[in-house]
Amino acid sequence: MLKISKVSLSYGSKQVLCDVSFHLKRGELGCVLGESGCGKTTLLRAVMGFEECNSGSIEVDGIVLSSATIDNLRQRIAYLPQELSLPSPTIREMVKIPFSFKSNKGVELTEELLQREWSRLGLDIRLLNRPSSSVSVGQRQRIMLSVCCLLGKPLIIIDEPTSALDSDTTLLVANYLKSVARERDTAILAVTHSHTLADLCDKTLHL
Amino acid sequence: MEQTLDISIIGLLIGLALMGIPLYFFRKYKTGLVQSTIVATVRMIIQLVLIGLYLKYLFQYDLWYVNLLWGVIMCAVATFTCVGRTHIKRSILLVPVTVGFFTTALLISIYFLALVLRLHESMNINLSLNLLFSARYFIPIFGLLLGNMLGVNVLALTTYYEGIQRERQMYDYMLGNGATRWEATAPFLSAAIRKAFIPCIANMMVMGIVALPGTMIGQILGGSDPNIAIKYQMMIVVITFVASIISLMTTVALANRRSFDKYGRLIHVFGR
Repeated sequence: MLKISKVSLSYGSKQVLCDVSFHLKRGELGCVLGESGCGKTTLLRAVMGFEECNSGSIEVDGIVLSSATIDNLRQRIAYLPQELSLPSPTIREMVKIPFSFKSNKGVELTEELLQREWSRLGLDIRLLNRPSSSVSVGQRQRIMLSVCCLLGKPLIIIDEPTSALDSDTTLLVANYLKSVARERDTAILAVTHSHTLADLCDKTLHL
Repeated sequence: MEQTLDISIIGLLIGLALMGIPLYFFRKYKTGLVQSTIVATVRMIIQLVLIGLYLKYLFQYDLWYVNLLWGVIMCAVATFTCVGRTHIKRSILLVPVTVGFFTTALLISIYFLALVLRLHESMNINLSLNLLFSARYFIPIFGLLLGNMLGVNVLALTTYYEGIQRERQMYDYMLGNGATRWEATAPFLSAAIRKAFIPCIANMMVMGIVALPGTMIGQILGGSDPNIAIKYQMMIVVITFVASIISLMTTVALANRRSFDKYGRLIHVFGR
């Protein structure tokens, strides 16, 4: 599903990634570990074409990343950045945003589906009608995580999904990700500092 | 109708003396605006005197191609002013703004003069280039449209590009979840349109009650029937509003081609 082969990336003279290789199959949960500033987020961004590699190749669902394939490749990915603020007055509208894109038009989003996901993530469905500014960072992270998982993409990329969560909720989210990968035959790649999440991963990349 | 009252040189000087009041407050509160206000006032006087002289000959000869050329010059000045105020690179905005301004102002002017004002019917002559681009009608309408498009475009383009740059996470989130480039930029364009058009809409809401618009006042002072002045004002508001959004959408559509790289990332747009 995801093949990162000998990827190197630098900003000017500063080498950020050097000969990085990593493979992830459908149904697998993978994580990227490393100290702050070692290039974890840069690697995720490179997979989506937001950072340009100096050498090496990236392949998602059989599509080799290039300027010609980038739109097609991004349609196979669901992505959750670390800090996200969307311009929507309510959670309901915030959740709907990615489902309004032309490439996701056929994907179903119902309150029942959301309720099922949210109950697994310790969220109350009544949050749906709350103003988006009234939820905590941790709740927002889990809400947007459920959205990513509902998009039904073959690859999910998430940046620090548990950074604002306590240890119990981190375990809840880690188990959720593991089961989503298995049940929906999806590859999930997460950047994390959490050992709880890393311990549950099928594959780990240390940077 | 009465003849337009002329303003004597003494009257002009008495009017200009009023500028002493803002200058007094600008100086008292150390705003740093005294020099720029004086320069702006002097520039305004010189420019208007020169334009007055130029327009006198323009109206006297009234050749359609000379009038159109004057329109091109006005458009060039408006374009450079717009690009300069946004602080966005000329290589990105110059062509899109030129195309957006010129085509919109030209089409809306022709629409207004031929279909709304129906110049040919009023004057009982055939519609011709000389009539459509006559100095008396074409130049004021073309200039009015450019002036309004300038303000709206500066505000909207700045808001648009600053938004994408500031909210990169959000822009990347959209692209990363399968949005097309147009879909990913849509929320930023929406915010830009809101910011630029809310003042126009608010102005329209109170027009005639709180705000007495310049065109109407000018016509009434110039001796027109108030009923005719009102009709002109209505149409002026409509065409400036419409021209502003058309020019903005044209500019953004063209500028988007130069503002993003082959991976859809916003390039460095601010600077010279």
